[in-house]
Amino acid sequence: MKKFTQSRRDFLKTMVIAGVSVSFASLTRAASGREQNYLYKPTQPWAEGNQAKHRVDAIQKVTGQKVFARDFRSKDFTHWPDNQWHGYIVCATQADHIFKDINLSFLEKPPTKVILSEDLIENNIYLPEFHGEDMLLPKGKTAHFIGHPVAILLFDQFDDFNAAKSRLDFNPNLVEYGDKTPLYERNPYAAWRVIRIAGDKTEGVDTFSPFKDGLFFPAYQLRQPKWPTTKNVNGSLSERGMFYADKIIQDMSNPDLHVVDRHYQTQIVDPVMLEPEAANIWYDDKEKTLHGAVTCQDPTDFTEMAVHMVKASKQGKETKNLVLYSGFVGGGFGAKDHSVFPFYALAASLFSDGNPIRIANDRYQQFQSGLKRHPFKIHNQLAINKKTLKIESLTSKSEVDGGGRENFSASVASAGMSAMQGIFNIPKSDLQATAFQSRNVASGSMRGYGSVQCMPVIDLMITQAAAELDVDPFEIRRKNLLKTNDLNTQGAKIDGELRYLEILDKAEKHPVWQQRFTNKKSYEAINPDKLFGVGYSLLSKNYGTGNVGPNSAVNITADGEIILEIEYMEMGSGAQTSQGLLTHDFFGQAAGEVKIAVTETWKALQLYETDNPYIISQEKQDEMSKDPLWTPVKHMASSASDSATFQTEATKGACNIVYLYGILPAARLLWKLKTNADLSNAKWRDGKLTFEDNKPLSLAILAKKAHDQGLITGSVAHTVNRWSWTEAEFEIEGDKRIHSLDALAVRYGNGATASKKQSMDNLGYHLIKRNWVKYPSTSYNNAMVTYYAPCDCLIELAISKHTGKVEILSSHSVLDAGPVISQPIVEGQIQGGLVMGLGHVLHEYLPSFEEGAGNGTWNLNRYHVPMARDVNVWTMTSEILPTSDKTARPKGIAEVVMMPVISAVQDAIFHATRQRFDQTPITAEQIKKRLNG
Amino acid sequence: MNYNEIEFTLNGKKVGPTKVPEGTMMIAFLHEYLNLTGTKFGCGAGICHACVILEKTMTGHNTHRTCITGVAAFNGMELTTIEGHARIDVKTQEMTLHPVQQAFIENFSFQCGWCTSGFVNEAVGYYEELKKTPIAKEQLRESIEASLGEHVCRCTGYVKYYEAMETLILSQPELIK
Repeated sequence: MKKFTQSRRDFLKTMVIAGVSVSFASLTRAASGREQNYLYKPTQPWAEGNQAKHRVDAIQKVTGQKVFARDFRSKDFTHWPDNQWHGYIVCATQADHIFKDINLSFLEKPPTKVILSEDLIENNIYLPEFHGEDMLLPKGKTAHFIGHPVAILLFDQFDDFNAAKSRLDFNPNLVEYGDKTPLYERNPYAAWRVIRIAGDKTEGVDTFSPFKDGLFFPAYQLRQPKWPTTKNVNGSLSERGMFYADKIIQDMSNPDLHVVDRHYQTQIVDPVMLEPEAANIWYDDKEKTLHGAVTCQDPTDFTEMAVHMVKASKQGKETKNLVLYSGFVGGGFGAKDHSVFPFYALAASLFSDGNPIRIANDRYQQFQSGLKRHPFKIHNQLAINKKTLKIESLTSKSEVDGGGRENFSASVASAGMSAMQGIFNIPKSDLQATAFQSRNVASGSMRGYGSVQCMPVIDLMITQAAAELDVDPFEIRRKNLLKTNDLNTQGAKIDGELRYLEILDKAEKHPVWQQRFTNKKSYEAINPDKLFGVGYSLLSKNYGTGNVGPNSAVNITADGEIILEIEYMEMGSGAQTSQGLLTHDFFGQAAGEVKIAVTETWKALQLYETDNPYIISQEKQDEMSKDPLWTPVKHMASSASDSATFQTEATKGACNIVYLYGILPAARLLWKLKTNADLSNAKWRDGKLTFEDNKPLSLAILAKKAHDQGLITGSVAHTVNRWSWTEAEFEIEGDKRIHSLDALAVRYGNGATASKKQSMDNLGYHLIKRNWVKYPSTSYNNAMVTYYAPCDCLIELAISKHTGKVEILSSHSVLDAGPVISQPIVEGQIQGGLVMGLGHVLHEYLPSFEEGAGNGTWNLNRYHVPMARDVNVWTMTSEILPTSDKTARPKGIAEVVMMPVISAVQDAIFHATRQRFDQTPITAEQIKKRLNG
Repeated sequence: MNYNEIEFTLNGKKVGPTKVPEGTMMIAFLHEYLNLTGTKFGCGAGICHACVILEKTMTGHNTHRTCITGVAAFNGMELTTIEGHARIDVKTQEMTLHPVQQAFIENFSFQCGWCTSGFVNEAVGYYEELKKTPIAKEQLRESIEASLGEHVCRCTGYVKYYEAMETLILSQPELIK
């Protein structure tokens, strides 16, 4: 999950600079004729019925066509100058000495230009507020973090750049340092505390919780959060909170309670998305237009920030247009979500004499500058009643290292904290999380988003408690499971059906679990130099950001071709394919074309925002909602766990409008039914619309009729989710209905009347203003999360007694993904997620500070991502739970699938070795040490 | 700046003779000189194998990591990159994928696709070698592991790549002895 919270000032700025036209183009469409040689439009459809024959992007990717932003050069773009400049970012690797200067004397040929901090300041070029200060470190200052950029070198020829790069890389003389200084410090990025005391009755109102009472925050002293000390059950919010926090601790001394007290630590992880970041930017001074092709997951937010940045600069103050060319992302995992990287290319483009600039990280540079997964230090105390085996309370304190730039550290800390409860009902809890600044490389919204660090911990504590109390771990889990409509640790109601019990039952009956003791005995008898273990874990990942505004548009041509446009970027997770399949329920076939990362079309809705949706008051929301063009949130960033749920709602909403007001009226005409004939029982069968004894109709026939009659053949839809969906009434073609949308525009067919054609004056659409809207209550902002997707993992492993090396023998995962849109896409997520989880728990590690990624010497030669030989490729099985609930929505599953394997492996290592490890990764060396003393 | 003269065959077409600065890696030559960007830069250190291309020799097939091999080392070779495996009918412009490519797309083998180029080249070389030297069925999985085992994929967990190759090979009796 991700939260991008702009300040109110930023929203106003966006409106003030509306004079800059921001537009978006498909990379492949924008490319020149030369590039077209590699384009191939499939002659066969990618889907059959509601099943994908292959991914929409499969043929482009498997034949090496230019589809990724990194693939493109200036010569690929129509109208761009051919000559591409190349940039090299110089970074300081000492954060405890003054930066004096850079030294380029060893280069055979100097750069064409050198950009230093003073050049940026002179030209009023600053990073967007979100990314912090000192884009380039000024001379005389100390780096905020290891790897802080100090200069950008520009080369006007590739060969010169390439020759220079070989001398610049790893050169210890490149950056000159002065006196030793104290480290840069600032207050923590954020500190959270969530205290909850459930009411007397399970289904009752909480005595105290953030959802019911609100959140309070600390002051800071000596760079540490200082929470209020006054405790008063009848006092202010914080005084009451601190009273209850103290009471939880006092109550833990009850001798009826068994308290598990553990410290855990997770590591810094690099996403290692295989496409390193790259950006091509051209500032066309003649046309006052900034063009960019960048590897980013968040094109909308990037462009909004880019507009601010370029408009504020001396060179770009007269900017009229910004054009972003969006391509596929070669892996994201959060690393390309609000990355600072493309802004360096943007700054460089303002110094490259009108030539396009390209900056492309190599892997060392990507390790040095790319966003990481936050490392957590966790101290938990879990109290369980010895007699009832019920969890009484949990206290948790997490220290989260956000690195040198804030990025999403505040929200990751919050998400981790709210994930701490796992699948369990915890009536009393005091959860704290503080995101600290450090001189490490910045961490961001990497896959798992705090949960992957925190959630396995609670399951490990439960299994430890079970062992210590000598009870079955499944029994203790069952006694404490969250149920639908239970309250989470924030006091908010859990949304949707929770199928934990069903998943637990399956696992407990699985032969791997049932036969774990006999299998251990027999395996170890045959393999005397190995230890055998079975482990299990069931976790449930919260997903969603709490304030999302997905957009979608669908159009049907007169020939019956479906063209779908979505706001989502395709990072590999299959959003393009799964969204393309959604049209089947409405039009009997998958979309012929699925355009991704579209942002231009939504302008047809004319929506505007005013406030930060996370902190807007209910009164303000109610007032603003009266304006049909207002919305709390216009867009959403792309993240793998969000498309299935949120983008789907907008896509279905857009399709439903065309179905109701285009397809069905056309069918009535063709079937010669009355205009008000009820077609709610009409069904698509084998690609044709059927109803009672009428002749089945193909989409091509229906589309032609709809176009001929000027019916609705296209729509743009927008909706908002804040842990609940928006509802609004629209009057369309004289019919008033409530839809799960807040904004709508429609397109009429080719035969529309003159007045209808005239009404399509918003990018070819007719804006239909809502009659009224009901947005989710602002109180949901205190809920933090309410959507959960569960996944378990049952794992068998063997450990070498001599080396400590772990070998995964088999794994089985059960996932509740809600209604599945595309089975192979979900399977791929399960498999890939499991392997990334194995990397987290067993292999991947970056040290902190001077030895860490910021020093620019890290690559895959010593950062071990799981290879196939580390993985149980042939014995990885899974089950996706079917659902018969027709009202259920697809769940965001791309993060949860990587999590239970982490605690399952730790559980299995305990079964094998009787040793508990409290930090990840658990390396062979550590296991060997424990085994051999 | 010193230069090397290079000349080889790439995707059925002659490249060169032309001069390229010493130290230019093959992947840079493909990208910056030929504008063939299907070969992917992953680690730049020869670890991830995303940049692998295929060489056809008199006796069989070799693969090469282009991120750590200078362009001059390819002189005289007959090479294929990801762009060169599919066949396009000149008249109809219809594309026929190599059986390995077809197997990968039908099995949803890749996700982001950045590693796909390397996997395709390695797997095509392996597949073509099996035509000459079939494998025993019981050795097939081990053989696939040996062939593709050095390639890093960050998205998929490798399962659907390996299953695609197993299904493809088992479907062609001449590849099994």
